Amino acid sequence: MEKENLIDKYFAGSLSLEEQVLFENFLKVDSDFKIQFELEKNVKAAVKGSEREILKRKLQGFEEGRSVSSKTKNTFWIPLRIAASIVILLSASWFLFNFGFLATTDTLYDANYEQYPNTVYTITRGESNDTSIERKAFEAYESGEYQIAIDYLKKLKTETGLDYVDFYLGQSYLANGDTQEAIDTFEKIGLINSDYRAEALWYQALAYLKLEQNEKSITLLNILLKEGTYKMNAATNLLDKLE
Amino acid sequence: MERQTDQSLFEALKEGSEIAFKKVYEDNRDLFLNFAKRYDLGDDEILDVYQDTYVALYENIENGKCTELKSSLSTYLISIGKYKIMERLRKNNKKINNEFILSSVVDVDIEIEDFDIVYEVLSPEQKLLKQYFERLGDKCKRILTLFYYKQYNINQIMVAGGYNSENVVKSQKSRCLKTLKEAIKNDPST
Repeated sequence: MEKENLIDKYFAGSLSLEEQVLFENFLKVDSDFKIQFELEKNVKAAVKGSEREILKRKLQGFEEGRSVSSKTKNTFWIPLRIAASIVILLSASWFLFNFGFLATTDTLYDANYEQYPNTVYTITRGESNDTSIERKAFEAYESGEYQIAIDYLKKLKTETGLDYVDFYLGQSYLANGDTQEAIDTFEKIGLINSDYRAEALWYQALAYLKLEQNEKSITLLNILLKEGTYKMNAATNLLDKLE
Repeated sequence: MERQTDQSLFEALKEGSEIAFKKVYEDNRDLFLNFAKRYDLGDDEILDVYQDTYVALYENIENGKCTELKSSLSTYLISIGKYKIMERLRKNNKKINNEFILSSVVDVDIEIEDFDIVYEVLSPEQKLLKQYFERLGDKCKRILTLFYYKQYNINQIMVAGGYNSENVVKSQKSRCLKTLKEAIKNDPST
């Protein structure tokens, strides 16, 4: 029974140091113990494999649901889509007209804005002695201290020409309420062949929305849709509401 | 505010909410695919990597390795994703000369350093065990899943499964293991 307990504790990750020694000793000297342990290790791998398969199938199911609904969005059906949009637009206008409800650009901004996560600089414990500007910038960014992040990112920009610096600078401006600065920064990214081009377009469009310059926002959203890579659904929905 | 939503989604995931499972997947899909497209992988592969990444995150929430949210769920997904992309590139035998990805996976990101993210290919015996496991009755499947996948201890299984005592859990688990052991012993291929 004691042996069985040891194996149970091993799998629950709760062996004490003393038990760990005992456990390892049994592995060496007791072949039955070793066989039982090996069996359970294999069962564990099997159960995990099975569970992963179930989860993955579930996700594939989500994708199938997606492709069914996006089939109607095939370019083949553009005339139909336009017709459908007109119907939706007409009914929406009717609805708005009758119920006097108008989504303000503020609420549209809030509904769509979501800060872009730090995907660039990994803050690891092992590197806590790292005092680079990059680390400081992203630490500030992750903890929501945008003014500090802006200062560091600006410094970083004078040292490197990497495009992500501009992108996160734009993010920090936007989060900090410096909307015009955010627009100018995102615009620069849109002009170069950057990995962040589509993302920058989206956030620049949102920034214009915040300044209630809806026409400019619409132009950018249309460019973003032509790029066809990022926030397609959100951009389409937002355009529907703005136009 | 974003943190708070993330926190409630995380709690819901921990409790096994199907809605949260779908929502977090959908919410981070575009971000991840867009992040991954800068690597030399086809669209289908990127989607596959995203799904593996998502399953890995979920698994570590389920098995208690990820007990609290130290950063946003999307940061977790990107961190695991970087590793999974690397794994895939290696598998494809592509030369990895992209400095960015190399520098970003030399150290595993802090938030996932204790996670189980390496998926070993199953050995022939493990594959066989998997087949027989899937044919077990629900009671056995559940107890073994709680123990080996969710890494519950005997006491937690007793509570979660409504068993009367720890000993009942133990003998039930032993019986299920024995069934598996017999099954592979009698399997014609072994």
